[in-house]
Amino acid sequence: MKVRSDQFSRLSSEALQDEFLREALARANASFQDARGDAIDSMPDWEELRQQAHEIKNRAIENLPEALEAFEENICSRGGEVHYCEDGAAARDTILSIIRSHDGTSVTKSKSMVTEEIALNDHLEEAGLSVLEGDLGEYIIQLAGEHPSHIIAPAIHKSREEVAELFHEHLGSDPKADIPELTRVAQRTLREAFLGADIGISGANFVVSETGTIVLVENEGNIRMSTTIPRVHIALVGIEKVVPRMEDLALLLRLLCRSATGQRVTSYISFISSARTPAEGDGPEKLHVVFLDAGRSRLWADPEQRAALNCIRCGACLNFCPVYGSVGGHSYGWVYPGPIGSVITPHYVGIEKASQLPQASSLCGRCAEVCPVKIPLPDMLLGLRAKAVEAGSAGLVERFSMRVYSLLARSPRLWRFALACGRPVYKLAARAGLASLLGGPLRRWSRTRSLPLPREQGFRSWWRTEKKRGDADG
Amino acid sequence: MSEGKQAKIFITCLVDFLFPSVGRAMVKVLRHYGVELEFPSGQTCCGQPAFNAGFQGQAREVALHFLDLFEDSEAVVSPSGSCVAMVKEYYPGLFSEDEELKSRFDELASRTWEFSQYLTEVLGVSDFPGSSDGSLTWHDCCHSLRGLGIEEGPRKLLHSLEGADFRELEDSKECCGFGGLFSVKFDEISSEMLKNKLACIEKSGADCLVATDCSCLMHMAGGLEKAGSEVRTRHLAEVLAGALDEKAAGSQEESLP
Amino acid sequence: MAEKYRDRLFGFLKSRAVGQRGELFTEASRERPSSAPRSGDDLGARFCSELNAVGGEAADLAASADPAAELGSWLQGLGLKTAVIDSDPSWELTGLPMREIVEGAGLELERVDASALPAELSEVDLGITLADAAIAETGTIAQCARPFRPRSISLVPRCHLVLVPRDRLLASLEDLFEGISSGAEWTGGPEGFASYFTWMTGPSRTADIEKTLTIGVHGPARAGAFLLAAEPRDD
Repeated sequence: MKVRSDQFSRLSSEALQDEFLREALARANASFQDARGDAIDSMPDWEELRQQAHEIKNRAIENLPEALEAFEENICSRGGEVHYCEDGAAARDTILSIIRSHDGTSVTKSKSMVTEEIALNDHLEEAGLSVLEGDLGEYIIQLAGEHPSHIIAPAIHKSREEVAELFHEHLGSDPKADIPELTRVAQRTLREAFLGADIGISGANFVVSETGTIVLVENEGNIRMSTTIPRVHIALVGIEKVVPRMEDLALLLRLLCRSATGQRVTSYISFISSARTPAEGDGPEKLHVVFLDAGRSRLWADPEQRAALNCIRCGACLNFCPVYGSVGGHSYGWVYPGPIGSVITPHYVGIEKASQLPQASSLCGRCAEVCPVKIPLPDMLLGLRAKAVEAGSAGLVERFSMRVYSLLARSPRLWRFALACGRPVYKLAARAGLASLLGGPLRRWSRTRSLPLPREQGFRSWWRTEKKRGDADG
Repeated sequence: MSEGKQAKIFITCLVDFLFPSVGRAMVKVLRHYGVELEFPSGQTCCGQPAFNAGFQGQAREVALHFLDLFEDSEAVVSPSGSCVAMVKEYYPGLFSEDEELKSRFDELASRTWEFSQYLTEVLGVSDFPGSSDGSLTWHDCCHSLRGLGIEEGPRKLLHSLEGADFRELEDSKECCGFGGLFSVKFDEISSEMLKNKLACIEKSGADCLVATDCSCLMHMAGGLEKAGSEVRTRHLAEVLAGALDEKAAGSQEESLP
Repeated sequence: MAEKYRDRLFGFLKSRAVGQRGELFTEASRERPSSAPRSGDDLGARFCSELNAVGGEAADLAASADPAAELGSWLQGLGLKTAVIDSDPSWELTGLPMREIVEGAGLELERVDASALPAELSEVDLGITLADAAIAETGTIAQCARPFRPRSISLVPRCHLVLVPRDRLLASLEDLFEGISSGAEWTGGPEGFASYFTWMTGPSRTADIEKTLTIGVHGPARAGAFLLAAEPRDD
């Protein structure tokens, strides 16, 4: 997927003008937040469970090579094939060649952020394959030629009217159809596609080292369709999705489902360890797992930022982020929006292409509060800001200002002098409405906020007077 | 209760530059409880502006200056959750490569207190003397709430004021949109967040908005004034100092705009 | 190409392996959260209330004076025409005359096995299966892919009815995973853990359009689950 993260400022500015988007986001966030709140009310141990989940993922990530090897050994011993791809290009080629080796022509896909990362659909379509997204939200945005705006609900930014219009255009359905009818229309079209597809492509929510099992979590049933009916199942999986044991899933599934949608469990959870066995009647004949690196191993090698790999893709941080809640997912310009997106996007696409993302946060800390695996997201944003500065991304003016700031902050006399001079100048300018003369930041502040005015007597002179009085009183 | 307690006060750069009444109010309240105060005049800033912008080198320089001034104290008290969070949460990490310095910063962190926490946890105050008139509502500043766990303490203090008409602010824990330079670097998003906050403030019907941090108060005050609102903003210290005076919480001249 | 990358990737990861890290597979077994039911609890009631709360249609036949009639009445209420049932040998142990019950409710019934095609099953209104296990904590049905039960039977028909042998009703998620770890028969077969193990909790659903819930998408729109009485007859 093309990276537009360096346009965050412009994209978010446009998003703020979009009334419908803001309403949709407000509605979605409120719904997600309430659902999560209700769900965790039923788990008094929630905080302790978060800590345990944090430890499980830490353990898996710290032992990444062993975790991957164990998974590979187990799944291969049952006929699965495992591939490792350095980047998106390698993964696209690998998947296409797997499909060709099985004479596949039609593909159904389930929602998978990692397939968005590598722009898989376009590549397969260019190669002459038909590719259909099975998840309703993904199907909608596929028809619209857009990208997902949320990890869990990809079409959250689209209104019913827009969807009805889209279906009318592509499927000839009633342009005034209501939501249940739209769902039925999509279901009928996709049912045909599922039944006719020879290749099913999925992601994976977790991969279990102990048993060589792929775990897939959903509500619609499209993942079961794509991984049951076609002859071949290909799972594209980031190398960080490992989990040590099956029993670890008890905890992680509880946290994932509640954090994502507020459900105790989703309607369907599939545990896939091999293709069909000879005695079985349906199910794929062949199972392939394609592991994607694409910057993950480099992130893994950074001890301060590695925790980002613990993410279980629940979307809670998005749902609670006031920035995401104001501007929506497309503003982030790539696959992953919100706080987690602001951390991993610079790592995966390069800090120079996404330098605004770690800046676009007030560091309020809600994300860290709701993350089920306790990723310290604000600390990581701060770390990325520091990395950007080290990499030389700060402008001349900013670098100079910081030097001056540090000098003043370490030189009390200079500091007091600067304050003594600065106060009257600032006051004059602010009172006269000449804030813009004092520079861009103050102008930007004043658009929606009055400038604070300094008071007559500063603290220091008051303290001196107080002390004198105190000494005089003895 | 507080015989022989001593503390150095760190008023913060915002109070130094713009809001001295908050510093005065804090001094008044602490002295009421018999705390002997010292104001190291060499103090400047906690270093957040540099740290938050990713300039960790400069942040370290400023932190060392802070350490120099405040290391030898029984307690450091400051009327800002974000500055205290900087000292407690982030200073030690800036020196993780230097064991000796890190342990000195850990020690400093353990003695540094946000004003309301110092009142409730060190001085053990739960019932605050004096009264307040008008209605009050409380905004939970992000660093105070999530960084320092400050939530119940100030509410208890405000509730305990005689005549206090305290109203819970809807979505009190939502960020006001300040976030330091975020408020100007991403001013549109910041203003959007502020707008939501202002709507909740109006909805509360309160006369006065109270919080622990001048930064957030300044942001919300700026928005309230621009919108032509009558709602005043006060730092917690000002409300409490005003209660001690037993007159209306702060006069116009002494309050934030 | 991909093979070469495997070597490079593992070379890189192993060379940077973190110093003090714990073992990948720890032995300590985790405590169940306090909110998870225990085996002494009324699991039947918990199972039914959980599943009903998410749009499933669950009932405990142990509480029924006439299980066959209750089933039949539910089936009739569906208003459907065609049904398929899997060839699970354990049907005989349930003590329920399924063919009679289903046909008595006005549906045509066909028994299917491994040879049934998804496209064929897609034309059928109702799939009927036996659960391999169930979880009271969440109202979940667990099933393995089996030679006698195509995966699609619980997926492609419009409705799904599953009967749950009581001795397979587990309390919590941990109990289910313990079954898998200990290689319990219901988790697979002679080769170990099933190739395909699926959890189903209620009907299929989506809220992808304007966050408005719609029941019944790709999977069944109605999900019935009946708990069998404790003592299945062994004729």
